[in-house]
Amino acid sequence: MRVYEALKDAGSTRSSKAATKIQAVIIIAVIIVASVAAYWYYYTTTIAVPEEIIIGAPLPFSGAMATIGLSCQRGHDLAVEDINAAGGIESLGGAKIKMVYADIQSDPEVTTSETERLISTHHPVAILGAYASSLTYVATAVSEREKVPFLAPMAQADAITDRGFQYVFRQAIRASSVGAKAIDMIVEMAEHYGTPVETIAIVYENTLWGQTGAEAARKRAPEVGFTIVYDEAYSQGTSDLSPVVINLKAARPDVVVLASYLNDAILMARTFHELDFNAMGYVAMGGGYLEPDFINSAGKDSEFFFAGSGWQRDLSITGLADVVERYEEKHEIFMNEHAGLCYAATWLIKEVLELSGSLHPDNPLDPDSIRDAFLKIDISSGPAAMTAGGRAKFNEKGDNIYGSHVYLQVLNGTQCTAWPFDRAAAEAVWPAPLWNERQ
Amino acid sequence: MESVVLAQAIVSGLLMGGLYALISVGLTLIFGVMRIINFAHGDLMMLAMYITYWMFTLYGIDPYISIVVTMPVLFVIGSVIQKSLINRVLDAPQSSQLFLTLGVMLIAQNAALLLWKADYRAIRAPYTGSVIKLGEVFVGIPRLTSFAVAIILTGMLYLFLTRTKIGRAMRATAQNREVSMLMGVNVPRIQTVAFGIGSACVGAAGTLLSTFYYISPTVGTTFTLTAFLAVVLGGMGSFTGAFFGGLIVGLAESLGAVYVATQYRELVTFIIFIFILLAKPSGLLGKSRV
Repeated sequence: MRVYEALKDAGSTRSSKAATKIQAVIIIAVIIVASVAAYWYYYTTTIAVPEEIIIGAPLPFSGAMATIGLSCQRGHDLAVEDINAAGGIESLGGAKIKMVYADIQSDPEVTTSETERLISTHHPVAILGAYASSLTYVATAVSEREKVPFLAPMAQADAITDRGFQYVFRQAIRASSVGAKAIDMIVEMAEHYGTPVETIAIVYENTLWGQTGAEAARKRAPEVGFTIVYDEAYSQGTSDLSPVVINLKAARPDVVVLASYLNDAILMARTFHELDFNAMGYVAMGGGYLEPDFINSAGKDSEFFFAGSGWQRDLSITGLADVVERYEEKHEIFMNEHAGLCYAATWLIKEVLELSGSLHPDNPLDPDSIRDAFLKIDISSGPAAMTAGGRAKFNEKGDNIYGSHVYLQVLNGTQCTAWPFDRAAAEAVWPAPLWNERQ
Repeated sequence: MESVVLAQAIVSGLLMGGLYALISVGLTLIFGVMRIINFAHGDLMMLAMYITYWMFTLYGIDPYISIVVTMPVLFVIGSVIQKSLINRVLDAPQSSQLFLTLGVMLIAQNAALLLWKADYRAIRAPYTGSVIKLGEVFVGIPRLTSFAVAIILTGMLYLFLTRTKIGRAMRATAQNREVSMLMGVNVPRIQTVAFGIGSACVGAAGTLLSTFYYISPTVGTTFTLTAFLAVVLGGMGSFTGAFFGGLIVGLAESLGAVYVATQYRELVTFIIFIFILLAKPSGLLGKSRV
């Protein structure tokens, strides 16, 4: 009754003293109760991490890139199996990883809608995908808007991380570094085998990929003292490459740097042989020269060609051989670059979440916590580092500063890692034997 | 060194031109007799390339021997296409004819994609990559052999058209369908044979090409375009025109790519093309038609 009256007359001067006293008690009580409740609420909701961490993967399972999508999925699945068998994410109470896939049909428009659907129905903590640069470019636009951290295992196009996005990270090498890497490889080869290289030629297909690669090589070559004696673009799918090779021969470069898709790569190797164009090294920035069909179709002419790759099954990294063996036993197919990079990327995201869990135990799955973990991670061992670069550390843009290429050489019909020397699986043949001296 | 480059460019251009010529005479024959533009021409070549490839891969039959299979098979395919499809639109507006052959092209390409996937394939015969050296000029033996066979086949076709009764009937039909009919020429039959022979020509070219080129479902498109260029350059419907047109396109591509820039090789060809047509609108050896 008194309380009621006191409250009723709260504003009056007559009983103001009593009213303030009671008010103060009530307010203090409310504050105590509220803070206990808030602490209890806070404690229970943030520390109890879900038992399953959902990672989304928009990948092309149909359309032109369907086979690659499948390789990626196999890589992710094997990694998830291994991670969960090893006890999940420790710092998150042993939470298991679950992959959720979406078919983006090798089509940028479908990629946009499927990535949106993936995020709104499954609320993934992070996303891995989406193979091709063109698809990754649009998928990351969606994930950035929805604030879902995105790790691209193999897309190379510079534009993906050049948009100032906060939550997009790239494991592989940047396209514009590919050409420079080829030049660095030539420098080391020349030193290692004591065969000075003075002149190079650059021959590339004239779409975005070839142009980006050639541009970087063109910039890097003078820095290491190479003279470019021939620099030529050709249109992809041309009916005859003889003219290129005729000029190449007249220019007499010590080494030729190449960027071609598969059909032109086959024709290029054959035409080199036919027109007897000899160089110390035939160095390709990946592309068609990396595909098994290059060796199948060009046959002996493909011998001694070098090709840059972000991953290779014979890389000398502890533990990799075991992964490759299990993969190949399960699927009865060679583990390719796509599967390899996806395997490593899945482990990388696990390590990032692990770090996020220890850095931000109060809120480890928040996009900003994950971004912070991405920026702080520096890992150079274990499955997450089973890539050509062998290390993952991201800059502000989201690029892995150790994203790199190894160079494979076709030796007796098999592509073997030949450079860098510390992870090589075979001794490189440098300089390549002359065409007319091959058996 | 400069003269070696020139010689090599000319040799390479001519070798490629010989195959263009064989593809083009097939196309011009079909056009001459039926007045129809066959967009599926290069895709018939693609079919022949796959036949050659499978015969080599599965049974080890040398590509040059498999010509005796691909030519008859392509003759039959061509005749069937003519009888069942082309025949029905001969009097239809030109747009319908264009759409029909375009449709055949799409079906052929996609059927190949379905059956044999988009993989690039290539034949690795024992002589693949073998080379002979003429002075400083290198010549691939498959290219040289294919060129020689192409020239021989073109010559045989020329003799067939000028010396045999059916060949003369074909030329007569090409000149004037109605009058030939009045003179007792069985025009529908001649048309079927002409489409068959045109297809057999491009089939032979496909087989010859597959000894040094790659094979894929869309490989024909580039060659269809080149053949059109050669045919128009030489004069629509003119046999010798198409032959020389093919050689000229081969040479122009090679020289243009060597001396101008590889990515502008088509530019050089088209500039020559425009100048020839400006000087002689009906093509090099074409007769102006009313």
